[in-house]
Order: sequence, then C-alpha cells, then structure tokens
Amino acid sequence: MSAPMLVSARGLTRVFREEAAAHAVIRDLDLDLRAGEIVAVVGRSGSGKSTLLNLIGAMDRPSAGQLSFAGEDMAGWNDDARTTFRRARLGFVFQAFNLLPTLQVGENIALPLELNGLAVDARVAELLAALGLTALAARYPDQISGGEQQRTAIARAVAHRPALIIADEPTGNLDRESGREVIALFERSVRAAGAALLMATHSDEMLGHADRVLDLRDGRLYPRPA
Amino acid sequence: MLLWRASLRYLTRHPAQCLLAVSGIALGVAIVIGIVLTQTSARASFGASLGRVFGGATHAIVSIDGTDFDEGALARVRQRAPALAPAPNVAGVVQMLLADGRHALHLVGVDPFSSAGRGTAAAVPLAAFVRTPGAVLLAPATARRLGLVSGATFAVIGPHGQQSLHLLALTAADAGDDTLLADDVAVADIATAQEVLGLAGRLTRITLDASDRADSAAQLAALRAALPPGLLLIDSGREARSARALTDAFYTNLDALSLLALLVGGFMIYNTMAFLVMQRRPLFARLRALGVTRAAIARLIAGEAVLLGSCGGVLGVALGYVLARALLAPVDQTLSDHYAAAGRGPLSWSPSLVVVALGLAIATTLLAALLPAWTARNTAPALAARHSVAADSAHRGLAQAALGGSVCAVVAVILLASSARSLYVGFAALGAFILAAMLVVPWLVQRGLSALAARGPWLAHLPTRLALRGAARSMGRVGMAVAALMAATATSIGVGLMVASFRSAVDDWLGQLLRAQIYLSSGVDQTATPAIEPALVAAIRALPAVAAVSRIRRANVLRANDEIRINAYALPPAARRGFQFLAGDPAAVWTRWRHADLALISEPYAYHAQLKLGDALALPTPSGTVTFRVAGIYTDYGSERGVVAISLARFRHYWHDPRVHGLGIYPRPGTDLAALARTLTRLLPAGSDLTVWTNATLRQRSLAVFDRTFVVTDVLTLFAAAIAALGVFNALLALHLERAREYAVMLALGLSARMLRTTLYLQTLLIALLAVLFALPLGIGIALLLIEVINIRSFGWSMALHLSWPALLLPAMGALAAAGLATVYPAERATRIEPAAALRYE
Repeated sequence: MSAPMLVSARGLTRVFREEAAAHAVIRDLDLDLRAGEIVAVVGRSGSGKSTLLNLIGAMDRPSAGQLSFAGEDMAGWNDDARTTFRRARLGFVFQAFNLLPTLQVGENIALPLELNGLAVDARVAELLAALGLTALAARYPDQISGGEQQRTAIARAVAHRPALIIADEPTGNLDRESGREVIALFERSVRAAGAALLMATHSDEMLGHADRVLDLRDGRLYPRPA
Repeated sequence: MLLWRASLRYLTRHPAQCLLAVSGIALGVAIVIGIVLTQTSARASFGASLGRVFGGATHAIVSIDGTDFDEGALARVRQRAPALAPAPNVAGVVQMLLADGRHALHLVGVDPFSSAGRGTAAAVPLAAFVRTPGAVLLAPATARRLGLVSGATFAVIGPHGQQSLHLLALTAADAGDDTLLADDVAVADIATAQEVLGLAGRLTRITLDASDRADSAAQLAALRAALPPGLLLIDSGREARSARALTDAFYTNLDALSLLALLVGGFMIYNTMAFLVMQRRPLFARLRALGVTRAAIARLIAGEAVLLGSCGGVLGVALGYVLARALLAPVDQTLSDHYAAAGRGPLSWSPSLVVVALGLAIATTLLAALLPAWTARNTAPALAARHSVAADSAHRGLAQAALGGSVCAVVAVILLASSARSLYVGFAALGAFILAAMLVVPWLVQRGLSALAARGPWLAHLPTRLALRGAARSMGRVGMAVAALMAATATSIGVGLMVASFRSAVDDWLGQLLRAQIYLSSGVDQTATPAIEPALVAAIRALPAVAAVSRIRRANVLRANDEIRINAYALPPAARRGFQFLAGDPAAVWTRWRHADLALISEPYAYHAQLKLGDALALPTPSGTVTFRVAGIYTDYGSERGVVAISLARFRHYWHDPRVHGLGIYPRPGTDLAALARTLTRLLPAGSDLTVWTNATLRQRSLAVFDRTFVVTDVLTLFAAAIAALGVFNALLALHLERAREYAVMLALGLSARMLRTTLYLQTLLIALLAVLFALPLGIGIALLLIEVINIRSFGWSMALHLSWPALLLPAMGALAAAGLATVYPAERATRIEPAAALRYE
C-alpha cells in the first residue's frame, strides 16, 4: 500500500507582472509528493525553484492551477488557514537562514514549538545536541558562523515534527561533516515520522539521498534519470 | 557622478523617510525662525513705542516721581537752554468705547511747532491739527483694527469722563512709514491731549536734542543744576536701553525654549541621517569593495545632508512665518500686560534672516550627519554585510554617548557652581543638564530592556519576549529618537510644573494680598495721575457699612536713570497680613511703620538691587534724597523689576501730595457687598475713570493675565513635543521598514498577524514607557532648575515646586499616545507583508 498523498499540484502556474510585461516562472506544473518521500528539485539559477517552494509552502499564491495539501485544496485557504498550515504542518529552511536576530539560537529552535504549544526544553536540547549546537544555545545569530546559523535554521524547521519540510539549499554553507549530520537529521525526520521533504539543492550528497530528483526547466518539472 | 545618482535614487525611492527628515528639519528651523521673527517684530514695535514716548530726543526732563509737572517748567528750560530745542510732551492712557468693549489707547500730545513734534504731525496741515477740536492721528494699522476711517469721530473715556476725538488723518498717508507710530497710539496737539487726559497746564516730559552740538555737555550740566526741585534731567538713550533691558529676560526665555526645540530637532535629524546610513551599509561596503574611497562616501552623506537641510530650511522659513504670525499676538499681549509697551508691528522680514535660516538648517543637518558620515566612511567592505557589525557598533555608540552625557552632567554642575547670578550661565547649565540626560538615557533604556529581556516570568509570553528582545536590540538604532522623545516630554513636564508652581504661588499670593472685599482704582492706567482725593476717602470712610479702608499711592522715582517703583501704603491691621515676609519681623515693622523711614522691598527688587535686611536705600524725593532702612523683604509677583513699599504717611511727608491711586474697602460683617459697590459708584466724581472691583474680579483678571503670559510657552513646548513625536514616528517607521524581512520570517513560521501586531505595539510601548519613566524625574529636575535658577536669575522670584498631576501626567500620556500612534502604520504594514515577496531576494 502506497503512502498517503501529501502535496498534489496540477497545472500550477505563477506569473509575475512587471509593468506591462508578464513573466511565467512556473507554468502548468504537476507534482505529487507522498509522506515519507524525499524529493530534490534542481535547476539553473532563476529557474523558479524558490518560487515553487514558496507556493507549496503557502507563502505565495498561484496565478492558476490547483494545489492541495493532504487532499485539501489550498486555494480555499484564507490567511488564517495558511498561517496555521505554516505554523503546524510546515518546516521551512530558507536559503539565507532567516533566523530571528533578536532570539538566541536555542530560542530560535524553540519558536515553532512554542507557537504550536508543544513541550520545548527536551526537544530543543535534543536538536542542539544532534547538530552540535549545545554550546551555542545562548548566542545570538549574529554571534555565530554561517554554518552554525544554517544548522540552527534546519533544527528550527524540524523541531515541531512537521508533515512537510521544505528546504532551499539546506547544506549550501556546510562542510562535509556537518552536511552529513544534516542529512541524517532530515532522514530521521522524514522516514521515521512519515513526513515529506521537498528540497532545492545542488549538493550531490543530498541528491544521493533523494528518492526522486526533478529538474525544473521552463517552469515545469521533469524527472531526472537515475 | 554615478555615486550621486545612486544617492539621489535612494532618496527618491524612500520618499516617506525623506519627507519625515525634511519635516523634522523644517519644524526645528520653524521654531527658531518663528521666535526670531516674533522677537524682531515685537522689538521693532516696542522700539517704536519707546520712540513715541521718548520723542527721539537725546535727553528729557521728567518729574522725579514719574508723574506730571507744571508746564511753567518749559518756559524756564527754553530760557536756559534754547539751543537744546526743548519740546513739551504729555502722555497718558484713555479708554476707547468699542462695540466689543473698552480698548486702551495711548494718547500722546506733541507741540507741532517744535522740531520734535513736527515730524509726527508732518502728514497733516498744521492748522487743522491744532484747530480741529479733538484732532488725533493714528497709524493705519490701528485705524483698520479699530474700524476707523479718516474723518471719523469716536468717544474715549479719560480721567475726567467721556470725550470726543476726531481722526484727522492716518500718519502713513503721506509719510509712507507704517511704523512711524506704534499700534494703539494716538497723537494729538498738546492742548488737546492735556484736555482729554485732564492734565491742563501740566506736562509729563520735556524733550531735549543735544545731538550734533559741541557744547552740549556744558549746556546739559548747566540745565541740570538749574532744574527746579522735583524734576530730573535724564539721558533718553539710557532710559530707552533700561526700559528695553526689562524685556530682555522675557526674550532670553523665549530664545532658550526655541534653542531647546532645535536641540530636539537636531537629535531627530541625527536619527534620520543615521538610519539613512545604517540601511545602506551593505551598499557602502560594496562601494568600498569596488574601490570607492572613504572620503567619497563621507562626501556623499554630507551632500545628502546639505540637500535635505536646504529643503527643510526652505520649508522651515515658510512654517516659521506662520508660527511668527501665531505668536506675535500673545507675545505682544505679554509685553502689553507686563511692560506697558503695546504695539503690534508688521513681521520684520529681511533677506539675511532667510539666509541665516537656511544656514542654520544646513549646519544643523551637517552636524547631525557628522557621526553617521563617519560611520559610513569607516564601513569595512568585508564586514559590512554582517548584521552584527551594525548592532555592535550601535551598542558601543550608546555606551560612548552615555560617557559623553556624564561629562555634560559634570559640566552642568560646574556651570551652576561657577556663577550665582548669570542668567546665561543658568541656561547653559540647563542645556548641559538636558543634553546629559539625552545622551545617557538611551544607554540606560537599553540596559533596562536587556535586563528585562534576560529573565523574568513575562518572558513566557511570546509577543512580550519578542518585543523585549527586539526593543533591546534596536536601541542602537532608535536610541536618539527615544532621547528626543524623552527630552521633549521632560521639557513639557518641566515647563508645565514650573508654570503650575508659579500659578499656584501667584494664586496663593493674590489670596493673601487681596484682603479687602472691594477695591477702587483707575480702570485705565495704574501709574497715571492719582485720582482719589482725600475728600473721597473721607466720604467712603464715613459710610456705615465700611469698617476700614486701605490706601495705596504709586510713584516711580528715578535714581541714576534707574526707575524705582514705590508703593506707599496706609494699611489697617487686616490688610497688613497681605504682606508675606521672607525676611524681617512683621510685628516690629508695623509698630514703627507710620512714623519711621522704613522700606519693605519686594523679593525681585532685593535680588536685582542686591539689598538685604538693614541696608540703607536712598530715594530721591521732592524734599531731597531720603535714606530709608530696609526692614523687610516680602513676596511679590506683581512686578519683576521689584517694588519698594513705604508708609503713606512718610510719602505724604516727603512728596507733599495727599492724593492716592487706589483704595481697599473692608466692609462690616453682614454687609451687602453689591449694595456697597453701588453706593461707592455713586460717590465717584462724574466722568471719573475710577472703577469699583470686587475681590473675585480682581483676582480673576490677575490670573487671566498670568495665563496669557504663558500662551507662548505652551505653543513652543507643543512644537518641541510635535518634533519629538515626528522623530519617534520616523525612527519607528524606519526600524520597521528595516525589519520587514524579520517580520516576514515570523509570518512564514506561522506567527499570526495578531501576534505580530501585539509584538510591535508592545515593543513601541516598552520603549516609550521607559522614555517617559526617565522623562518624569528629568522633568522634575528641569522644573527645579527653572524655579531655583532661571526664574530667580531672570526675575528674582522664588516659589515652591508644586507637583501638579496634570502637568506631570499629560505630557507623559501624550508621549505614550504619540509613540502608539507612530506604530499604527508600521504595524499595519508589517502584518500585511507577503512573506514570499519579502523573502524573494535572498
């Protein structure tokens, strides 16, 4: 029996308008993502990877097409529903980390737990230890290195055990060792918890752990041969 | 060139911030220009008033007690010194009957055949001016305001009842000089003025012109030696300067307030410029990486400052004009109320003023941009993109500013200790004190917020924690705006407390002073010729309802061109309690009051003349110079120059004049006051301008004058508060714009719009609350300095600090409301951020 469908996109289109010109970054795109699956999206710079992740992450709205999460049509979601989805069901690793500069490392990781009313301390300690951040828990983001910021961002994304993790170049700033730790963490989060991971990456190591690799070209996804 | 283009594009793409910066500069400049313009204009009209009174002559002969004297003196002076062109003058105040009430008009009588009088009356045919009954000239502005046209006849009330005056012509019709006569001045032939003022055969002044004469000193010396008793030869120039000096303290206070507003404005401009730099640190870093020199970046910021300063300056000049128009009336009213110098002149513009305004705007902006420009030029290309650099250096800046503030505090203490009398040193100390607080408070607020953000049960609430952390970490950016808000709030509190304390002291003093139930005095001019004859006093005393009567006689005596105001009193025991002794033994004074040459001096007079208990005070009298002994110093808020009180019996003895200016009437218990007032009115001579006042009316009128005096102060403090509110708005808007990405992350992580809004409001209110908390003690400190230092050094008045709740809380609540309002737009904007749009350019 196959795992339940988590994300389904049909004819997804996103058009950006600048003055008189309209530019379709995502055009008539189809995608299925099941629970427990790790899918990597590759593509050239400007191909629309971040736009696609933002659409699926309910941070942007499509210009046309259908997009559903766990069978529910996301088009019908109002702002509150989208906020609730992002808070409870989604973990997002941004390319530029986007840690909150006014919260310490531990607090950044605790934020989604707290927003969801979940127990904080044990989970934060677990993630800090898993990613080698324990000693940095009381530091502010601007007091740690880029790699440490990235690990914090990843810990924050998986902290509340979301159903869907979206990651935009999650290991871009990490050394080989740290990269491996992150991959292990993602795998644990996805395989054990039945979540799904959709990531944009160019890292061969990350691609090697993906169940499927999709190439984003001209606004559409094409399976890359194994 | 490309750099400038980039800079201009940045400014044009951030119109809201530019507009706020320009408006801040404009408001600061507007206050200074408004005050300067008001003062120049008020001084010009005051100068015109003085010119009117002193006739433009170099010297004058006046009576020793400042009242009128026999015109026979003129013949003797003309005989003695014909070369000095002696010209007679008579001046007094009449009341004009208008539809909306009575209006005081200064009536000046000149001799049109003398060289001094010819100038004023040059606009009309001499024969008509002399022969037309009641003929007067008015300035066009006065005529317009009073609704009079040339040829109109109008009624006035003088000391001897109602008279008709005829507006013969307007002075500027031919002379083309609207300022020849100040407002509220009517010029008449001397005979007409004598008749209307009830001064037949009397003069108030003989003007002399000793200019351009080699032997003038000898002539004047000879004339001085030959003057009859009771007359004095004075130097008009020195007299005018002395009269002008009276208003100096008033103007100095206005100057200080306007400079304070500029200081607040300067902090705001600094804040704006600092933001403009902070936001572009990555850009500067890239430019530096591309090889742009430090000097070029500093020049860029300086260029922006000049551009913004110029725009703000132009707008400030226009706003200053509007402000000056609004301030001129209350300033004039104050001069009229307290210095007997009326006259609404036109606003005196000059091209140099516009140049000064622009220079001031650019200089202030450049000065404020100095530190941000320094920061920008030192941007390290490799580090610029890191937020930590900006945050760290900003925090270091707070600590350094606090250190500078501590130095300012020490300077303030040294200044206070260095001089006990100088008003300017007092103001410098006040300025240093406020500056010290402005520099230290942002650091203290940051420390306080950091402590609150570190631990405490409130951290369990996520928006509170986010707000606390955000506020603490943003102090480097908004610190100066917080300082400006705090300073403006503290100044409002300080000035409000001072005014409340002053009002409370005056109210108490009036309550103590005004012991009688009914007063009788001139309704027009309190220093005019005394109109109450002994017969009237006797008639009033004889009324069965009257238990006792107090009498007052006023006189001004001149000693070395220094005018001393003398009040001579005959007081029943009940009235004596009106004197609040600050020094001296009341019982001993009142026992010997009637027969001894004792003087009670008011507190301001003691301060200005530097006299103390037991000192001798030599007063010129018609019977020669008499030495009075200072037997007491008493509270008096009626005159900032000060008053010397002696007994009426001693006055009569030396001045040989039984008339008095005013009476205080003490009715027997159970008397119907209204009936007594009617009886008193019936006793007054026909056509007399004497007025019966009830205790309550007199008190009410005195407090109304007091309240009018502080209208200008209120307007200025409001402006300073508006600048600070704008500064806070500007700072918060810029902060929130800068943090748009952070808010987008919060929303992306699932923080609801409501929680984000709560966080932002909490953050603002925390900052404002701390600013206000610091403003409260600082405001009390400013009030104490104003009361204990500035008021004493300006006017010689002491008073106790009265902690008025409205004065304390209204500015504080206003500041909180301003900060809250300043958050509405940024908060609403932040909660509408589309996370994807804000995070798109990673």
